[in-house]
Amino acid sequence: MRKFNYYTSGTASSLLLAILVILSELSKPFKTFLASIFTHHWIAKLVIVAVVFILVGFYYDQKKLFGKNIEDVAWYSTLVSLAVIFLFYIIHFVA
Amino acid sequence: MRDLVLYLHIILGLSLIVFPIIILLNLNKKSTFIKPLSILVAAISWIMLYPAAKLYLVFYPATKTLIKAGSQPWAHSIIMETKEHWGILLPIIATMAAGLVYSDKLKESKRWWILLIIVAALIGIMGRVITLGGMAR
Repeated sequence: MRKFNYYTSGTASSLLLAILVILSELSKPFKTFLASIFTHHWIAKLVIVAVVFILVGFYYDQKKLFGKNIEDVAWYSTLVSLAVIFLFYIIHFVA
Repeated sequence: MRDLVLYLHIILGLSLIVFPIIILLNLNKKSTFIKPLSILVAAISWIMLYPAAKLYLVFYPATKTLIKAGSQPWAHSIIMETKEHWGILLPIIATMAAGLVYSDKLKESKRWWILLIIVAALIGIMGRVITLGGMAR
């Protein structure tokens, strides 16, 4: 059985979530498209992120990414994703 | 039905704070229950998506209308929007932490358990802020 790389999967899924959040808020057709496939845009994001988490973890085994230790990349990707989502909604509300 | 789902959501959410604290306190002792408890926490984080989705998609829209029409629309536009999407990251963080424990990377899992506790606690606080936002006129 393939070894699961939690760091690559965490990196990919957390960054993807932030991208999906921003894209779906800035592009109404994209948000509608997500909702049309999975009944609701939130479920769409959840399913896509979960699938990417599983697939990347099994099929993309790396020790380094962009020359950095993958463990740190995963950690900072998750923190950046959390911060970006929060800041994006503040800016989106104020703008 | 709504109350049942809400209580389930709160209990499961609290367990994502309490269990990781127990894990962290026993991480250095290498207790035998750490691995099964870690798997349980990861499982709970995924199971919790069901009551979360039920509350958000079925019961929340009426509250959302009230909040957006009230004096605190930011409670939905910033806090709820952030909460619902941070909620998607919770099972990812919990699964990573559990996976590291299961791979005997106990030391590496520590910061992920701490992050899980912080994010779960913040999501709980956000839930309370949204409730207050719904009551404000």
